[in-house]
Amino acid sequence: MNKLQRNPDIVWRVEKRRQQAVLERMAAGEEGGDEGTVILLISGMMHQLNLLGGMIWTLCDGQRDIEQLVTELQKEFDVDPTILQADVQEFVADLVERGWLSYDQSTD
Amino acid sequence: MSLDILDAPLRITWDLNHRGKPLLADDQLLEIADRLIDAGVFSVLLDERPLLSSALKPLVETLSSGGCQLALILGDNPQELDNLAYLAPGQALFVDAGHWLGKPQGLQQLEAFFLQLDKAGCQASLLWVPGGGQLRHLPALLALCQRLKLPCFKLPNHKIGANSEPVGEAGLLGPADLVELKALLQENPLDTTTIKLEVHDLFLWELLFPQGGGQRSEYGGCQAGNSLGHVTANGDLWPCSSWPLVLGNLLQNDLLTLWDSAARFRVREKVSLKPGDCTGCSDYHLCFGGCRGLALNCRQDGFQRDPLCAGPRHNEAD
Repeated sequence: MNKLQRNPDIVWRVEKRRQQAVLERMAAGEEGGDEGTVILLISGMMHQLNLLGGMIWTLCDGQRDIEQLVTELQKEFDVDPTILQADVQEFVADLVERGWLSYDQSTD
Repeated sequence: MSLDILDAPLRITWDLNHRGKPLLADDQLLEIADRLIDAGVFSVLLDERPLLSSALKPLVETLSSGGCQLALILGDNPQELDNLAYLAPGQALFVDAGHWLGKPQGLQQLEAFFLQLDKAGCQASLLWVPGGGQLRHLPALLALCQRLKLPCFKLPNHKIGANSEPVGEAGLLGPADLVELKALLQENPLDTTTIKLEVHDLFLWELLFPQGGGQRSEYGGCQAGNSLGHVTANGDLWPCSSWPLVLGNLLQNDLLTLWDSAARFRVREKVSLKPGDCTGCSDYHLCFGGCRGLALNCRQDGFQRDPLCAGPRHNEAD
């Protein structure tokens, strides 16, 4: 239970070329984490998520709760787990409030 | 203007017929639809009598079930009305006013057509691509939208090439049309607040929305070959319906491959270059040279800026 899932009405896609460019810049120690790597179409409006937001969004497939998201992201980002956990919680709370994500309340 | 290169277009316009006739078999159309979905295209606007296509039903089902937001343009053929039965309730529809305005009593016929649609349970929007000398129809069309409470009035880009008139300036709006519209609006200001008016062209938009606002399709400059693409009736992929350059054919290549081609990147490089005749313009940051497809393919005077632009502007503050 408490698995996170995307709103099925939202059309989205990963921009692989942008994502790759951001990853390369970050590997080189440059800024670039705020560029949109996932594009969402919500009620006719286009929205973009940055690298971390896009990865969280991609992982919210109804199979993972917040703890599992953080575990997955820890493999990609070399940051303090406490800070990562706080960032993920804040981001998820925002998207849940917007109705873009929801918690699956069903029991396993 | 920076190069912001997307993996695939977000929006596609697709001509299903060429001068009223299909060029592809139904299974080929479905193959192209699959390729649009595989590439992650968000929205598809079907044009050139899509309701007369024998592939209408499977095509709509394929695109819709693949997650594409779909809209169809209606012409003036009674058969198109009959074929609305193949569409799901609430399907987005646009009636192309261009089919009606040239007819005797065209506006009245257009209004009657909307009433027929309403009777059939379909709520359609209005679409119009004004040509040179035609902006005088705008007040009457806006009034029609308000009278019939239409959901949206769309003024898209001017298509050129395959289905339209040969490439050339004839038929295009020009600076003289804007002068005429400006005078008309000064005499009779239009109320654009009670209708969702979607204006593609910056120069029209700034006259219709002097205080800003409205639904402008493009904010970041020409999107040809980036978020926007066009598919012709034979499956050729263009950067935009205003830019008749064949990037490849979707029956031979998938969309992601064509969007990753040197030809496509050359288009974006062209878009990123500031037209020489925009030098010194204080509004370049707003339009980035405007519609680059029309500028590159239609202007015969050597200039490279949007054909609607009268020339560089110089604000008093500059």
